[in-house]
Amino acid sequence: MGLALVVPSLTADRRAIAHAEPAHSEPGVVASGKPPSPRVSDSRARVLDAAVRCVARFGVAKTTVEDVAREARLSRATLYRLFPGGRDDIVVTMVEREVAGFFGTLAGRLDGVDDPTERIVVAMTAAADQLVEHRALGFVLAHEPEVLLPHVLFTELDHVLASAGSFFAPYLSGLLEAEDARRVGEWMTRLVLSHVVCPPGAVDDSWPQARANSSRDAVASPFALHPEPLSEDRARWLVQMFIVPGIRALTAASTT
Amino acid sequence: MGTNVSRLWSWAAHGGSLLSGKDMSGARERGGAYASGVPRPVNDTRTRLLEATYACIARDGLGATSLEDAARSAGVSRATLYRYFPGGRDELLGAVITWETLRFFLRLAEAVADAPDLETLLVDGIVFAHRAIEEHEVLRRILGTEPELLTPQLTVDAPRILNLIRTFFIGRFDGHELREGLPPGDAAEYVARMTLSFISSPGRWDLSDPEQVRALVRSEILAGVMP
Repeated sequence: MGLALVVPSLTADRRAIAHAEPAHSEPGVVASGKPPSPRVSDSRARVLDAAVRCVARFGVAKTTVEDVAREARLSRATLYRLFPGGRDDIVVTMVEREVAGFFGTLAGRLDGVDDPTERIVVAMTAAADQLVEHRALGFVLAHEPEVLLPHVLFTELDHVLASAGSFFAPYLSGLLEAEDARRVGEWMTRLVLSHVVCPPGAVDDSWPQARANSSRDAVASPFALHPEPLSEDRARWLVQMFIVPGIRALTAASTT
Repeated sequence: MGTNVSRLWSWAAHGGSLLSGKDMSGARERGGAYASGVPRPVNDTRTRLLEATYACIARDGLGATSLEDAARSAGVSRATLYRYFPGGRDELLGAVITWETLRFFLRLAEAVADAPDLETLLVDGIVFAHRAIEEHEVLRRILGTEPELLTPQLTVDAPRILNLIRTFFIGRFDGHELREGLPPGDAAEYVARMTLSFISSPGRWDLSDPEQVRALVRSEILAGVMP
């Protein structure tokens, strides 16, 4: 199934971030690093758009080249011409493009936000919103979590943190040295992911009751995304209460 | 041994019983678990089944452990296993994952039980947890060979684990002065989220270096919590 191929795409997105564009732009530039002809890249975009729609409906495992071709209204032959590596090529490129689109959208939301503290609030809220609104991601997490989770937990999460940290660090350049800025970027990412995985409603004293009711669902239980895991108010509170004092402490430590 | 560890223990013990729907009152009669003052796994049948299944997993991995293997290892019939885990193999394996995860956090709580202050507790706890995860052979093997069989259950369990850690810290904050205007429950939730995140994924920090961990604790975890 070539899922191992997905890992390099998640970790290789430094290249993607450097070229971060909003989701509607040329995916070809991001994926290969060299600009293809406009016609080819439009067609590739069409295939990738179709692939995302298929995954949102059927998941990764059940999405075939035929499904994508039908959805894109292109022939299989055309698909293989555009993506010689076939299904795996399409899936990996699709993930790369979605990741780049994620950061591109964040960049768009941050445009015009000058205050560094407010940038942190906007970035965290926008990131959480994008994650829970992404239909293909939601399907995978709900029905085939094993496809994604091994690539984003334990040491694999370090790659995600590093990418996010590198993306956001420039936005803090007025406030912090590069290394500390990257740390804060990782810090924000930890909190966003923590809230997406453990949304506010899940963390209360009703655990014993909840668990007793769902004992049969132990392993099979799908992972459903909360519609608003991190509101703007909550993000602002986290930033004011913990991140701002922490930045002061980081700065003080760096200058001693 | 602080109040927190025994509170955590009752969480884990009741977490186990609630998973199975059976009550743990028999455990009190046996008494032995607390006799030495050190909490041990309560010696009831469900726990024995989990231990036996864990032994299979440690030897053969998650994917290769069948219900029959677990039954043989525990010296019980398949029917007995189904009585305790009606969902069959999937429920049994999920329960073992949850159980070992809870045991890990109990070991962690014991390791920091005597910490004199909050900063030391967090530094020692993070250093301990990082090393314990690195040295957990069964976990390392599963992450290396079949992570897709483990990570979904961990993610499903994450809110419960978070609540466990939060409860631990609420107890720890009791009587301690926190930053003005910060409710203990909110402080505990924040600290729990951060520690849980760091335990499995160090990010840029070198968690084997206590001085780095101290810098991390002082800035990212406690800067906003302490008065």
